[in-house]
Parts: sequence; structure tokens; C-alpha cells
Amino acid sequence: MPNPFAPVLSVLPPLGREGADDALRAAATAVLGNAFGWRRTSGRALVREVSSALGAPDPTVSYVFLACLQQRIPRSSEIVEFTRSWRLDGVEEPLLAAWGSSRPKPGVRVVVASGVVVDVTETGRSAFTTGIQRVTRESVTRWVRDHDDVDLVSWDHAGARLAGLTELEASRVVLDADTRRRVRRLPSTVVVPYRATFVLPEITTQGRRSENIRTIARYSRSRAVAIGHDCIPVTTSETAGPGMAGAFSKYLAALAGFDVVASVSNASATEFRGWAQMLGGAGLSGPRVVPVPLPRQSAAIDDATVARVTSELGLDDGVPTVLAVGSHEPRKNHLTLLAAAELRWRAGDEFHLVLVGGNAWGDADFTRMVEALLAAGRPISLLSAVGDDTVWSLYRIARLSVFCSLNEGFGLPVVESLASGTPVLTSDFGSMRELGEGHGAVLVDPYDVHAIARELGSLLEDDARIETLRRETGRLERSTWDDYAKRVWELVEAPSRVSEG
Amino acid sequence: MRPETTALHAALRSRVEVVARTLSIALPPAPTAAEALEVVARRVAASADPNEIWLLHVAITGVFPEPDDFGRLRRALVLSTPATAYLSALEGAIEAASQVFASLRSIEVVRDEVLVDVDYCARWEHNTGIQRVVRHTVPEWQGREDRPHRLVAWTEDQTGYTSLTERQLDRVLHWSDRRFPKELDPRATNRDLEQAALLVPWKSTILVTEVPADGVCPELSALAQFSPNRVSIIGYDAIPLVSADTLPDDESERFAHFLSFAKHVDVIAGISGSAADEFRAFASMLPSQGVEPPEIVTVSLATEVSSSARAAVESVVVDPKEPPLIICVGSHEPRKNQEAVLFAAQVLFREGLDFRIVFVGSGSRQNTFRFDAKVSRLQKEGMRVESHRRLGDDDLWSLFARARFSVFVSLHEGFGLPVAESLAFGTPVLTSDFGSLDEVASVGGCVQVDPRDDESIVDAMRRLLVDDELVSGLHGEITEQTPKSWGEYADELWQSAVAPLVRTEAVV
Amino acid sequence: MSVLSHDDAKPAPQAPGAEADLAELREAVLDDWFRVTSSVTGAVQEIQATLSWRVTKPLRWARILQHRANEIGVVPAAQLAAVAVAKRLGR
Repeated sequence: MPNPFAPVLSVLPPLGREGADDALRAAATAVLGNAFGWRRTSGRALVREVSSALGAPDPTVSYVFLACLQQRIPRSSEIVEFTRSWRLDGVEEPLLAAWGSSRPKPGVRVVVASGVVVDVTETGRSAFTTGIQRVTRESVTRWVRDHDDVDLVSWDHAGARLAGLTELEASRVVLDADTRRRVRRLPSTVVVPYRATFVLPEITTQGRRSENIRTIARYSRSRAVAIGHDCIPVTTSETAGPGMAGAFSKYLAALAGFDVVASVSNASATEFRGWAQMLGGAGLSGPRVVPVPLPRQSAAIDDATVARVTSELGLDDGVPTVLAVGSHEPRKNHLTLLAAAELRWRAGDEFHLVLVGGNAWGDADFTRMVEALLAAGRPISLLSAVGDDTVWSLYRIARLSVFCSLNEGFGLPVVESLASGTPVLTSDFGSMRELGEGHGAVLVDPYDVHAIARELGSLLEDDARIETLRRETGRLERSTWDDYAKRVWELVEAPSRVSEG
Repeated sequence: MRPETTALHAALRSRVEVVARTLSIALPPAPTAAEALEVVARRVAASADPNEIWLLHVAITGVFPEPDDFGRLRRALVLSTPATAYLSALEGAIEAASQVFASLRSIEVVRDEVLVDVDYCARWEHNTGIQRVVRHTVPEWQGREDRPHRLVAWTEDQTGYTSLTERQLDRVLHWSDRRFPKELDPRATNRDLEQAALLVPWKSTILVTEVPADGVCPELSALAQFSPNRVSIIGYDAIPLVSADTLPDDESERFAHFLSFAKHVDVIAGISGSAADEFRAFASMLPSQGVEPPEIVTVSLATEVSSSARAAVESVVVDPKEPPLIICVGSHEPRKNQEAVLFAAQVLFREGLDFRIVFVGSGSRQNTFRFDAKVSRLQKEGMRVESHRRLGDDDLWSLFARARFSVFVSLHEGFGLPVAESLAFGTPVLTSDFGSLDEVASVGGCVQVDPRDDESIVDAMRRLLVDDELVSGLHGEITEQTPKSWGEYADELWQSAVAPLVRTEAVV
Repeated sequence: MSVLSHDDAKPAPQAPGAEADLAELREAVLDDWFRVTSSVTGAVQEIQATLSWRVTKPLRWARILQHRANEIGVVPAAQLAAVAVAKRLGR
């Protein structure tokens, strides 16, 4: 008869280790498969059983086990140390230590995800629409609608854990209710991507999140694909708010381990390719950069709405309207536009200047100048937080729009204006030139206030020129969000099929 | 008028007169400050020439403008009329002038000359990487008739160029042979700043030899964009952007500010082909923002070590019974990859190989704490491993003399001075197989590995420990090398980054 | 920013002595400007803590000029300045 005490004590797991055992089983199943029947043992015996099944040291395996046991993405230094310890002493020792210090939250499940995992953290958190968030919402909605096995995830506020979306987050990311019902609910889970396809349609400027995305790209043996918007915070840091350039550099360091960056324009591809080439100095090759230009779509606005907006804003006095859409940050170059407009008003031109866009970092000079011009009686309207109907109506109302930004990844206001049939005065380089040239845009050096004033004057006076430009806007290829989402999805799935543009 | 107000008027008048002379603007005889400014402001407003607006800003405020300051003055002048140019000029400069102590400054326009910016080396007692380059290079140009130049530093409030004091010259030109005691300059008072004498480059060539301080990047950016000067810089590396994951955010942030100046310069002289490639790749990003990229040239750093160091190393007698020594020299930070080297050494120790390994390099406590703890643990296991945070030159040279090989498997370098140094001392090196380290290793005497692959480091270190033929082959390669001297570097830098920018046409 | 919106490209008819008055006004403007910008005048030291005040404090005489310009409209600036000087000096 066996001793009734000793064997029982050695088989029973220490009190409260069930969570750690489950995490270990999840990792073992992901890495080794289910054939071993991980439920036969528990506790230290389970650690031993799993250890003996693991082969040569492999940082990816270290990543999976650490992530599952810690219920967060491990730091790369932890992965490296674990793997080195595995190489020196065998895996059981570090695994036992990781299992021993594992403190899983009760009721929180680890899900090792191997399908398409889309990180929509910022978009899910904010009710407000930047260009990046708009691209994310339009794309992700279509991917969820058209494909199975797409999981939407977001990071916790510390940027340490990936989880499924909450209802609120899902409602902010996925644009229609029918599609929203297709989002797999992953309540109370920690998601660990492994041999997955990790997709980042937005950007990250939170340090821990960037670091962890870098770890996923480097160690999880996943394919990683990002939508690349621009590199402005590091190439034009003089126009970026404090802290942005440093945080953005960490984002780029994460992208260094990605497979593909789908850039939103050729100009943005130029930036990302240059950056990827810089990585050579660190012995890294960087992602393949494939331009997938954003769509050129306008919203249909009925004449009644246009008429209502015209009278509400007092634009029905027969004086032409010049429209400028963009936040008041220095990069949008509104100060130069205001100076050019003042030169035209002094020269006797009559026009309304309507500026649509919110307050932003570094807008003190802008605010002061608008106040001074208003005090001098200039017809300027500042609109912010207005609805889409108003913006699209304004594009229809305006004789022309002005968008002389100093650097843009894409330049949505150029496309929105042209897609509405309204000529645009825009900068003579980069994405703005790419979008506007030959499509109803007049190109100008955005640093040259006299040149802007000259073109503004000519466009206000010369009806025939406006007519010609209006006709040219018809040549702009009207692509849709459906087309766009489809082209990016092809890169998510099978990059080899897409030729570089 | 109160006496202090009289002084203010006089200082402004004198600055505006300098500008009038520079721009060939005729002033009425014995003008007041207001009369002089009235004439000059009208002329600059009428010309709308950015060069003239830049200079007018310096005259009115006594400081070099940042791009935003420049923009304010330019807008004010654009919207002025001849009759209001005077008012607009004052109003456009009011914000910049209000933020500094500069109202009594004098200015000297430095025209058609070469200015060499050695700001940090002039003001601080600190000598690592970049300062060593500057303090080796700039003295090579002293007293040379074919290298005429002035050394300049920034005022302590970082608002304009000044000439160097005797003590500052000493720090730059006589680092290893000082005439003055090694102590810092007293802090400037507001009164000192208020009365500084600025050097204002005009149609000159400026060589910025250091990575400029964060605070002067906006001024330098405006100078490169709007003044009629040509600017060259030495491009050390793009580590804070490319390898941002290994550094704190604020270093990457500062580097981005530096890039917003660097993109407007005329020439960037990369310290290695790899550093030049990084800046060339950065330059290729610029057409997207309509900026004409700088010209990128490669001027590789010198690889020589001082003759006294060489002599010291050569005089060491090595006891053949000592176990083989491995040294790993370089500041201690994640990018330098010392952890991987320690791990490899641990593997080889477990395999039973007999050797001693010494790490040398300072580092923050955050970076060194765990490493040093691990070193003590391994010492207790009987492994011959040491980590020194501070080591005198003599001790370091003695280590180089005794070492069988050195290890420098950094993940990213602008040049790889430790590799060049080791080779100059006759010690073979294990280093990385890409970037600047690949370049500096290409002369021979090195074994190269992928520094991100632990196993390849282990294998290479094992071979270097056990394979005598390999090591003697490397020694043979080293014997044939002639290190590049600082004189050669200084010549090449002048020829590539200064001479082409010096205006040769007659001054109008 | 200056928002003087008149156009004085055409030479203005000058009142006798206007140039002398203008010169005096310019000196006054400069005194004001130094009072706002320079620590040397002493005025600034008193209010150094409130930087925003320092940088936005209006140039008193320049404002007078501007207000006049806005009220009167297209009066050539030189003539306008003469008016302002006359007012200031009580003539």
C-alpha cells in the first residue's frame, strides 16, 4: 500500500496554480499541438512534461510561453533572457520560474490567435475622426464584412495587453450594425498573436504599445502589415507637437520588423522607402513599401442641403467663397493663406474665406491673425466640429478651395474638393501635386505668399479658368473605399500577387 | 530721455547701420536709430528678399531668428506699406525681442569667410566620440593659410554666434596640452547676454562640426533656409531614428529636431559610407515635402591612435602562460550588445574553455545594474570575467596589448571607433557584418558575425579562442594596414565639405 | 501683424513740417517698443513673470496709428501720422 501522504502532495498543484496551468496548456497547445493531452498532468509535472516536449531553443516559443503565462506581451529582453537560459540550462528551469511567477487574473482567458488580428486601439477609443481614423474605419468595416477569421483587438491603457473589443469600441470602429454583428466577441481575454497576420491600420504613439508591436513583429512569427500614412513627425518635426517625434520614432522602430507597409500615396511611399533604406545601417531590411492610394470619393449632397448651408453661413450674398479645410496646426500653413487673402482684400477683391478645422497645437499666431483680420472687418468664417453635410456642401458652394500644406501623407482636402468638382489651389510637391496635377488643381509654392495671392486673384477673377479647371476635375479617377479596402486586403493576404506601383 | 533708453537707441542704431552697410543702403547723415531703421525697413519690405529679412531680424532684436520668428517678421513686412514698414518691422520682431536679453548687443557681419561651429567643445569639459573628432580635426587647420576660418560658438542663451574666448580656444585646440586649468566658464549673467557681441555670417560658409544642441536647431534651420550662407555638417549617424528602440524617446525627439535643420543644409559629410547612406536615404524622403535635398559625401574618420598610446601598447610584455584575454570596450547600453557577448562567454566557459574576459565602458545605472550583478554571479562560479566602468588610459592600453582579440558586436554604429582602435593597436576584432562596422572591418584583421544571432557569436568566439592559425592570419592582415591620420581626415573634410561651398566669384 | 489696409503707393500731399512730426512719432514708437521688449528699461523687470503680457502688450503709438487708419479709411499713412502727432502734441 502506498504511503498515503507523500505521492499526493507531489502531484497536487500548489494552491491556486490552475490559472497558470491553463496558460501553460494554451501555450503548449499552440506550439506543440493537442496530441499530448496536456490535461493529464498539472503543476510541476505539467511543466516537466511540456519541457521535455520542447526542442531546441527558439525565441518564438519563449515568446508564446511568456505571453501566455504573464497574460501580456513579454518584453524582448525577457524573451532573450529566457531563450539564453534555455540554451544554457535547458527549458525546464526558466519555464518553471515563469510558471511559478505567473499570476493570471481569475476569469481571464488566454487566446492564442493565428488568423488576421487587426489592431484598432486608437480608433476604438475616440469618437472623433482624423484622417487616419477614417481610413481605419472604412477599411476595417469592409474587411470584417467580406472575410471570416478577422479579429479586432485593442491594447489596454498601459499598452501591455491585447484584448477583444468592447461593445463601445466595436461601435466606434465598425460603421454599420450588420457588420458589427460579425465581430467575434472576445470578452475577458488576452490575445496572443502567433503565426498570425497582424495588421496595424492606424499609428501608435504610446511607448509600451509600440514596443510590444515590435515584439510581435519580431518574435511571433506572424506576418505583419501596416497602412503607412506618412513620416511627417520625423521628416518635418518643426510642425509636430512636443513629444510627437520621439514617440513616432518608436512607432517606426516597430514597423522595421513588418513585412509590408501599404502607403497611402506615392509621396508617402517615397518617405517610407527612404526610411526603410535608412535601416540598412542597423543591418535591417525593413518592410516592402507598396503604395495603395486612398480613394477619391465624394459624398452625394442634395441641392436643398447646399442651399440651407449657404444661407445659414451667410454665403448667399453673391460674393464668391474660398474654402480651406484643415486643422489650425502650423503645418497646414494657414498663416500664409491669411496673409495672401489679406493682400487680395486690399487689392479690392471680394470673397468669403471659410476655414473649416479645429484648434491645434501651435495655433496661437493663427488665432491672433484671424482676430486682427476680423477686427478689420474681413469676411472670415471659422468653423469647427461641423457635420459632414456642411463640409460637403461647402465644397459645392466654394468657387475654389485652398490647401497649401507644407507636408501631407495624402491630403484628403485636395481629393474631397476635386471629387466635388471644385478647383483647388494646392502645394506644388508631394502627394498634393500627385493628386491635383491635371485634375483641376492649381499648383503653387506654399512658402511664397505673393504667388498664392497672385493665383488666388486670378482664380477669383477669371471665370474661364475656373471653368477649365472644373472640367479637369472630371478626369480624377473616382475610386471607392471598397476598391481601397480590397487592394489593402490583397497585401494582408498574399503580397506576392500585388505588383509594386 | 533716460540714460538706459539712450543706450538702447544707440545699440539699435549701430546694429542697423551695420545692416545698411552690408546691404549698401544709404542712410541720412548721423541718423537716429529710428531714422536708420525707417530707411532700412522700407528697403527690406520693398525687396521682400528672405536674406534681407533674416538680417533685419538680427539687427532689430540682436538674435538669430527661429523659423517662426522669421515668419512673423516676413508676414508683417508683406502686409506693410512703405509708410508703415518701420512699424511693421518693429511689430514683427516684438515677440522675439521680448523673450531675450539682447537689446544692447552689437553685431559684426562676417562676409565671405568660413565659420567653424565648435560650440560644445568650446564650452564643455567633456571628451567622447564627437568631441574627440572635433578636437583632433580642427587643430589641423590652425595656422594654415589655405584653411582660413574663424571658430564660433553660440551665446549661452543659444541665440547667436560669438567668437571664442582664450579659455574656449584652449578647450578646442589644446585638449591634450592645456594652457588653462580644466574648469568650466562661469555662467553668463543676463547683463553679459544683454551686451554680447554677435558674429553674423553673410554670404559665408559655415561648417557645423558637432550635432548641434537642441536649442540652436531652429536658429540653424532658419539660417540655412533664409540667410545667404552655405552650410555643411558632419553626419555622424542616424541611430536615434533608425534604432529608436534602443534609446529613450527624448533622444529620438532631439534627433528629429536636428533633422529639421539638416534637411536644409548644402552638404552632409558622413563619417562612414554607411552613415552617408543613412543620410542619403533620409535625403530621398525630402522631395515629398518639396525640399531640395542636401548633397551627401563620405569622409571616413581617421583610424589612427596617438603615438604615445601605440608606444605604450607595444612596450607591454605579454606572459605567454596567461590565459587568453578577450576584451569588450565601449559604453554600456543595449545597442552595444554586451549582454550577448557575456552570454557567449558563459557558454564557452561551460564548455570548459580557459580564458579571461574583460568588459570596459561606462553606462547609466539602469543599463549596468543587472549586467554587473550577473558578472559577480559568474565570478562566483569561477568564471574569469570582469566589468570596469572606469579605467585609466594606461590600464586600457595594457588590456589591448594583452588581448587575444576584442569583441565589438554592436547593433548599430556611425563609424565603429573601437574596431579601428583595436586594429591600430594590433589586436584582432570580432565585429558585426553590416553597416559601418562591416566597412571598418573590410581592411582585414576581423571576424564578422550577425550580432543578433547568439549562436554565431558563440561560434566565432570559440574559433578565435582555439584556432591559433586564424588569429595569426588576422595579425598578418593587421600588420599590412596603415591607419588613416587625423591630418588626412581634416584635409578631406575641408576639400569635400568646405572648399566647394566657398564663393569663388567676385563680390559685388 | 499689421492690418493697415490703406494703400499709400501714391505720394501723399505733405503738410509743411509733417516729416519732422513723423520723426518725432517714430522716436516715440521706438521708446514704447523698448519699454515692452527690453529688460534694460526696468519696466519689463516689474512684469517679467507675466510673459504673455510682455509679448502682447500693444505698441501704444502704433495702435493709435492703426485705429486712425481704420476710422478714416484711405488716408495716406504719412498724413495720418501727422494727424496723430498733432493730437499727441496738442497742436
